[in-house]
Amino acid sequence: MLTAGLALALTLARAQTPAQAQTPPQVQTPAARRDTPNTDETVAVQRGTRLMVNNFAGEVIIRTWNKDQVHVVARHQPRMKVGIHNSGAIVGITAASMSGASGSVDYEITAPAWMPIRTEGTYNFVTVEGSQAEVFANTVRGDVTIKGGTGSITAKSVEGEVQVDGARGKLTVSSVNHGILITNTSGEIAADSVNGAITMTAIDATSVDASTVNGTITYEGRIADNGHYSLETHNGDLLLGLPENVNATFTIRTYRGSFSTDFPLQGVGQNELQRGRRVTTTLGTGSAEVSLETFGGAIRLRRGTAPTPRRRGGS
Amino acid sequence: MAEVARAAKGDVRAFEALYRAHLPRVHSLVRRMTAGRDADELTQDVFVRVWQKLGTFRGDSSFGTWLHRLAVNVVIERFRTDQARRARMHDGEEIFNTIAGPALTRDIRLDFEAALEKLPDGAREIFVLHDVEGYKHHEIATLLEISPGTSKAQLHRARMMLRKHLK
Amino acid sequence: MTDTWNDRLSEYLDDELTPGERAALEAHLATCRDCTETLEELRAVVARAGALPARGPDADLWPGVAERIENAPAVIPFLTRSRRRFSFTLPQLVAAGLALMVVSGGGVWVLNHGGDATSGPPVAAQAVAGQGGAAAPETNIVPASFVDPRYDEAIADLQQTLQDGRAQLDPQTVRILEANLDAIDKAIDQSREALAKDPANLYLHNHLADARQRKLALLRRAVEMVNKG
Repeated sequence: MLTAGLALALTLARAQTPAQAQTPPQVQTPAARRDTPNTDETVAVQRGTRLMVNNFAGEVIIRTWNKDQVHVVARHQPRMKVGIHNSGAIVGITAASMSGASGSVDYEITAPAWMPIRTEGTYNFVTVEGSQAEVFANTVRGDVTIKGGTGSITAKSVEGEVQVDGARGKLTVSSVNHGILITNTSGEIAADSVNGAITMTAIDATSVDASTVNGTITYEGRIADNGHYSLETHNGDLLLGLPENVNATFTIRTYRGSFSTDFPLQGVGQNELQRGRRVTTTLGTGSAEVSLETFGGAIRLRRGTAPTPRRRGGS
Repeated sequence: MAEVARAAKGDVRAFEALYRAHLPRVHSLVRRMTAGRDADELTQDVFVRVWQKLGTFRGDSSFGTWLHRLAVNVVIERFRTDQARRARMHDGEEIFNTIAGPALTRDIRLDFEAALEKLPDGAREIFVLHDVEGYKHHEIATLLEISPGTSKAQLHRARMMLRKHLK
Repeated sequence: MTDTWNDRLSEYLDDELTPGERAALEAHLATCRDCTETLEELRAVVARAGALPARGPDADLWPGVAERIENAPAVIPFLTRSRRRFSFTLPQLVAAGLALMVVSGGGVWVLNHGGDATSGPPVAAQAVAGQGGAAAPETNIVPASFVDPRYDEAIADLQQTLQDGRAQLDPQTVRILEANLDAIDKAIDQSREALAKDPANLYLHNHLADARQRKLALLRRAVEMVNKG
C-alpha cells in the first residue's frame, strides 16, 4: 500500500500540465491556517520502525516524544487526501490529490525519539526537533531546521537555509544558494554550498569538510587532537576562531588571497603564500590537520571568537 | 570513508587528498625509523604501495591504521636488504658515548628528536615502533624477525639513552 | 655495577612483569632512590615519545608519487574486465586533453580531469585495446578525446537535458540553478585564466578540476530534480 500511495502521488505530480508545474502551490504555515485539521491520526509503532514523509509542498514539523506512537496532524485543501501506511518496517506518510493539481499539505507529526526520520519534497519547509536517531531531510525550495539528531544526519536544500543545532554524529549538509548554520554540534561534519555561507559555531568535531564557491566559511570551535579539518572556497573567506591551546598543523594555500592571524604562526607571510604554494605551519604539538584553501579570499585565524564576515555584494 | 572508496576506484585526486592528510604522520614514522636516511624516497615508496593495495582495504580497521601498517612494512622491507641488519641488534655499549650532549635550544622537542636520530639502528627502530607508534613487543618481534626478549631489551636500552637528553 | 632491577624498569613501566616480580620490584623501589629516579626518567621518555608531533617533509613529494602511480594503476580485485576502470594522473590527462565519459542508466555523466591542453591521441582507447588482448565491448567506460570546446559540448549535453525538462521546475528554481551555475563558471574561468599564466601550477590544476566536478554535481542534482518531476 505504501508503494501504491507513493506511486499515486508521484504520478499525479508528473501529470501536472507545464503551466501548473511552473507555479508552485501556495505554501501556508500552520499559523496561517486556522481551520480544523483535516487529518488527525495516531498509529502504534514498534522499535525499529522508520518514518518516511513524502510531501510535494508544505510544511513538515516533526517533534518527538517517549511514546511508541506516531501522531499525524495535517492541514490541507479538501481535494487532498493524506495516507498513513504502516508496514511494520516503515510508517509512510504521503498525500494525493483526488482531483486537479497537487496542493500543499502542512504536517505536525509527533514521533518516538528513537525513530529514524526521512522527509523528501520539492516545496517543503522542514523542522525536526528532539530526535535521538538518524534524520534525513531533502527539499528543493524550503528551509531545513534540525534540532537534535544522532548518528547520520543529512539536511539538503537547493534554495533554502539549512540549520542544524545540537546534533551528535555524522552530519552532511548542503544548500546551493542559501546559508548553512551549524551550532552546538559534535562528530563529523561535511558541509557544502555554492553561494551560501557556511557558519559553524560551538562545534566539537573530529572531522570537518566544508566547501563553497563564493560563500564565507566561519568555524568557531574545538580542534581535536588528531582531527582532520578542511575548509575550502573559491572567492569566499575562511574565518576561524580557535582556542588558545590548539594543537594543529595548518596547511594553507591561496592563489591571490590573503592570510592574517593573531596566533604565533611562523612562515605564513605574503612572500610564502604565493600562487597556490602550500605553506605548512604548526601550533602546539601539531596533532590535528587543518587545511585552509581559498583561490582569492581572505583567511583569518583568531584566538577565541571568529572574525566577522566582510560585507560583500551578492554573497 | 568516501575518499578512500573513490581513490580505490582510481581517482587520483581523492588519493592525493589521502596522501596530504596522512603525509605528516607517515613521513615522521619513516624519518624516525631510518634516522632520516632516504626518508623522502621511502615515503614515496609507501604511498605508491598504498595506491597499489587500496583495493584490498577492507575497512575492518581505520584507514589510518591500515596505511600505517603498510608504511611500517615498506620500511622494514628496505631494512631486510641491509645485510648488516642483524648486527644492528647487538650494538655495544660504546655507542652511548658517541651521542652528542643536549644542544642549548629552547625547543626541547628538537633535542629529543635529534637524540632519537642518533640512537643505534635496532634500538631506534624498536623505540619508534613501541613508544611512538604503539606496537606491542610480540608484533615488533614478528615484524623485525627477532625475539620478544630482544625487543624488550633494545627498548629499555633506547629509553635509558634518551633519558639523558631530557635534562 | 648496575642494579639488577634497573634492567626490568621498562618492563615494569609497560606492565609486563608477573605479579610476583612486580611486588618484588616495588619493594625494591621503596628503598632505592636511584631506581626510583630512573623510573621517573623513563616515564618522562615514554611521555615525550607519545607527544612527538607529526611533521611532513620539506619538499613536495607528490609529483614523484604521481609520476610513479601513473604507471601503476590501482589494483581493483574481483572486478571483471568489463567493469574495469582506468585511472590517469592529472598531468597525463591534461597533456592528452582527455575526458572520460561514463554511460550508466539513462544519464550521461562526464568526469573531467583536464581539458585545457591541445588535442592529443585518445590514450585511454589504446589502453583499453591493449588490456589482455580481449576486446571490451561490455565496458561501460567510453574513453574519448576532448579539447576544451569538446568538454564544453559534453557539459552542454547535460545542460540540454536540463533545458528540455525545465518546464518541470518552477521559474524561480531555474533562476537559482542558473545563477549558481554562473557562479561556478566564473570560478572556472578565473582558474583557467590563472592557469594560462602559470601552466605548471599544481594547485590551479586541482582547483580547476574541483570547480568542474562541482559544476557536474550541480547539473546532476538539477537533472535529478527534473526526473523527479
